[in-house]
Amino acid sequence: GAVPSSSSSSSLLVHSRQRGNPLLKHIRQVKWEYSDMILGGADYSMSRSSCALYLSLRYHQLNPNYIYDRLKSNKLPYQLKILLVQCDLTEPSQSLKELARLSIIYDLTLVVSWNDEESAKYLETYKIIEGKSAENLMDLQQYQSTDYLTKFIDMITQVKSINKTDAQTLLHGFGSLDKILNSSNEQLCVCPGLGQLKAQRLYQSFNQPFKRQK
Amino acid sequence: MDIEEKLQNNNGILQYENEIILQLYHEDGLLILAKGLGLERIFCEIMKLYCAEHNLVFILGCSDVEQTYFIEQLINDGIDPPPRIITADISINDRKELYIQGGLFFVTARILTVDLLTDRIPIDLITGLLIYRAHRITDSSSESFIIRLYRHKNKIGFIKGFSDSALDFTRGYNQLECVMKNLFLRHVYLYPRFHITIRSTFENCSPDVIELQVPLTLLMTDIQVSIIELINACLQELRSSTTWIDNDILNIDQAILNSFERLIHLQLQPIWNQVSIRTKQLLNDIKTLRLFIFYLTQYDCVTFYNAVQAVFINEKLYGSRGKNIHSSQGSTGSWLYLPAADRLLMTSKCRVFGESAKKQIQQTKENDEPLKLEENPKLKLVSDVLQEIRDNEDNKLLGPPITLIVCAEDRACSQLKQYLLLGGRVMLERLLEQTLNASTTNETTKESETKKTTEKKGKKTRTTTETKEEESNENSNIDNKPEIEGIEGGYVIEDDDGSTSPSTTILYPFSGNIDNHFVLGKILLKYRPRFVILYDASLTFVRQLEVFKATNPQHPLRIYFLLYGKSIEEQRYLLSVKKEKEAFESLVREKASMVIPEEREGRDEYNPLLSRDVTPANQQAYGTGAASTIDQTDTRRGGLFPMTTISNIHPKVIVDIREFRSELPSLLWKRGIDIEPVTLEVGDYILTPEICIERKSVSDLIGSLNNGRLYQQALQMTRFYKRPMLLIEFDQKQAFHLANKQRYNSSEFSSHDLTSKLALLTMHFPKLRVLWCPSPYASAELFEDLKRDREEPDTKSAMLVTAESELLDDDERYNTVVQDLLIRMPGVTFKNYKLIMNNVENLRALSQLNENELTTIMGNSKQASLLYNFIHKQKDDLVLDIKSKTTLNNTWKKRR
Repeated sequence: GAVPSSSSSSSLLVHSRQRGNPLLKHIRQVKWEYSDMILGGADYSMSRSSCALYLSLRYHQLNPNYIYDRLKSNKLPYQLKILLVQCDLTEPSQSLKELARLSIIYDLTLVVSWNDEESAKYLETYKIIEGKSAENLMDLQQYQSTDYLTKFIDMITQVKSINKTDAQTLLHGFGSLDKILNSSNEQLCVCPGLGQLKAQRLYQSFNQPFKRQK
Repeated sequence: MDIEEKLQNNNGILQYENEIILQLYHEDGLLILAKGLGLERIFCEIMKLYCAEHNLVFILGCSDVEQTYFIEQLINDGIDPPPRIITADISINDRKELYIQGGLFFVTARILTVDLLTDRIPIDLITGLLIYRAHRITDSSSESFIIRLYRHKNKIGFIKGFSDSALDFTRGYNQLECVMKNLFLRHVYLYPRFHITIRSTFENCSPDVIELQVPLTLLMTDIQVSIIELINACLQELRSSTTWIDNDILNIDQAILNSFERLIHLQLQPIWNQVSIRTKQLLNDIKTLRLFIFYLTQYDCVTFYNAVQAVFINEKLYGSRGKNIHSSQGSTGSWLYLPAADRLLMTSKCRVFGESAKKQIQQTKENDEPLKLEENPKLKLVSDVLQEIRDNEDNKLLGPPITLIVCAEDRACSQLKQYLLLGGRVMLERLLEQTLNASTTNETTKESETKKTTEKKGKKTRTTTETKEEESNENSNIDNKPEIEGIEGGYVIEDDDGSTSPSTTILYPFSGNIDNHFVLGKILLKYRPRFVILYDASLTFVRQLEVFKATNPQHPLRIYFLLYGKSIEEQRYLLSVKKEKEAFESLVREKASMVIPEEREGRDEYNPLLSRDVTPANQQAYGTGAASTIDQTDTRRGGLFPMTTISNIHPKVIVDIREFRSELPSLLWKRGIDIEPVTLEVGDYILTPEICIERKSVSDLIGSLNNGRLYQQALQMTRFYKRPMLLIEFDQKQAFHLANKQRYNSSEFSSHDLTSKLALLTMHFPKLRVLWCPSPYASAELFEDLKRDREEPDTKSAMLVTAESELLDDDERYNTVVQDLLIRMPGVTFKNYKLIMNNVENLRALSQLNENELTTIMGNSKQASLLYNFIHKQKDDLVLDIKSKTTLNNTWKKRR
């Protein structure tokens, strides 16, 4: 049922016209509820200052006037107005160009996603980070609930040409990051799959000073 | 002197080379030569023809090694002045002066583009362009842009392209035609190995080849059979799981080929985001298995076992499959649980530990049976061959023999060296000690290990005799160093202990670096080996040997071709020969049917490439098929930006100099927009006095979101421009959220990570407009659109905008690669990463700090603890962490 929007600002508000949008299934990390009282009639409202309109490119192609009509009829009194576009066309070039123009005219922030999960993830994130400071832009690790190996791989593959398999063999062969960081070039070379070049690159990144020498 | 005479006086030139050089000299064209037949020799001769001050010739596409080689070569031949290398270190004024003096210049595409655009080069005075590696030219490459800029104003100069990669021209649709079009060339000269002149050149001087086949050991054959079986299983599943891939690619004959992955990639690329996770996983599995085949003959038994074991353990315990089991994807097919996989693992183990390992699944440390440590049969063969070479009768006459051994990879070379110096048993025992034992007997060695690392020169604690031996080896290595000067990455063994006849053996790998074959050519000329052992076969190198022999007909050259009989290795080699032949055959056909327009060379005004007109982006990029929606949208929304054609004056975009690595500037130019290259501190493109755009490719975007740079850039843009924009250029064919897949295939982590960071950025900068473009063509079109009816940007004021010094300093002050590693460690945040970088020397030093020290530096005990645990987490703890997952695996295993 429709709950007055003021009382439930902790939830992500979803306009009932979005009912049946498959992305809703994927919103798991935040509470959400239907509401028809969303300010300006936006599709989603993440906070008092941010809202989102949803548009599937395929739909847009069939009903090109829809989004213009929406924007003309609804004034959106928000600081941040997201146009969440789901890219479900194989040839999105023209539509995206057109929407770029539109976003400039109507002061919208264009966000493109490729599937329902991703769209949901964007909405979730906007809800979660509402009110977070800019500095947190860099501190996002607290939102990452991934395991050690993934983090390890994510880090070590920053070294050029080191791939996931290399990362795994490294961890398997040495047992810990600590040992990897402290190994010699030759020791790294012994790891299967690591040629001289890769070993050297690793060794260099571990032993190169953080500060550039002048 | 006439060119024909010049060439006749040069004795070293082979018959076919002579023919090619004459053709290329008289008529501009693209040369495609078979691999290994000395493209660099021909290129050198061509350069010689133009080495004179009254010429102004630019050479594109050479690597650093090649540049130095060519210059050396020309100096040796008494050419004055030799070509010069133009780098960014040479100031603009010095560059200008050099250009006016004339001569030959090696130059990077970026510098040449900028210098052409800013009229630092008198374009009309350029004698010509020499393009090496011409197969890399595409519609959008910066070389194409350069050639267009050049032909636009210079109608007389020459253009000559060179390539030895026929295969690259058969990839994709009409590739040859496309390259020729971009090079403004009407002629292509095809010189396959089966070309009549080339055949006749080599007919009478083929080297002495001895082919030695050695069978794989029984265990190795077993392993090979298991791997093939596993690949087959994966292929079968792939066939049933996807309809995207042609079934005739999905057979084992194709799957063992080097080209397999590329073929699959070609088919899947356009629809990559629709491919199921399971299919991707299967492709990944096949990739791993293919790697095993390669490892089997390349690596020793210990390394091979390690590689296999690592995959097994990782995948079973905490691989992506573990996750998939409880996800809805339900990946049912996993080769790890097939009987052949067990056989693979067991047999690999047998090769190291002996038969008994087969019986007991858990390997006990106290094993009475001696280790098996099976040697690869080829190793023995090499030492036999070397003995034969030493005993050769001719040595008395011709002096001590010099032997060159080539392997595929550096590791094989270094192992072969160890094998020859130490013997197989010792080599393998050492390896075992270094790898397996180190990880299984953790507790006992831990203490000694930590001691070792604290000692400056961690001498290994072994028996004294062994250390002595090692020391002597190290010494001999050092003694050899000056010998290998100029062949970095190779090994030399001098065998001169008096007892046997002296000999020199050089080891060098042919892959790993693009320049390797090039260096091998140099080694041949410098050391003139009488014997060559092909430990692994390389088509290119075999041809190089032919050329070497042909240019030195008197030099005795014997080649030992080592092959594992009935192995995949042999098939791969033969197929690579066949592939190149087929590529040439198809190029010959393509050439015969090619229709080349008169105006192709662009020497008059009619070449369409030189017109700077406006065609919709999707037509330029993907042919005319996709144009259906344009008219409709353009007329309907036309009211927003009324169309007006501006004649005479070209619109202008100011472009940051660093952006010339991308193709966008050339596409803008093509659309009739003038480009003004300057060094911008804020933004990449200035379209109007208000619009400033920062362009990010997906990989740039990920990087700059992670290290916080994009945040700074957005801040600067919003500060100085009324309409700041972020342009995200994604590859149309690879969905944005999957862009990371080349790096690690199934990580959901990065996409989510990226999503949230992008969300935060946009949230913080609501004024920042985000533009999404599927290709640079689309970006160019959008730029034109954004500029329409708006004021032109002013270069002076754009240059006056300066970023805050802090931002620039950061880039200069810290090593960015290391910074990227650091920022990804748990506990490290944007607030504290600088503290760490300022107070700790490097990553190694970071790993040696204890938790308290970290807390002091980072100023936060919670984050310090996160970081400390990340660095010091032991693999064994990890196994405990995920035990729950393993049990899940087991029940699942039973269910199968």
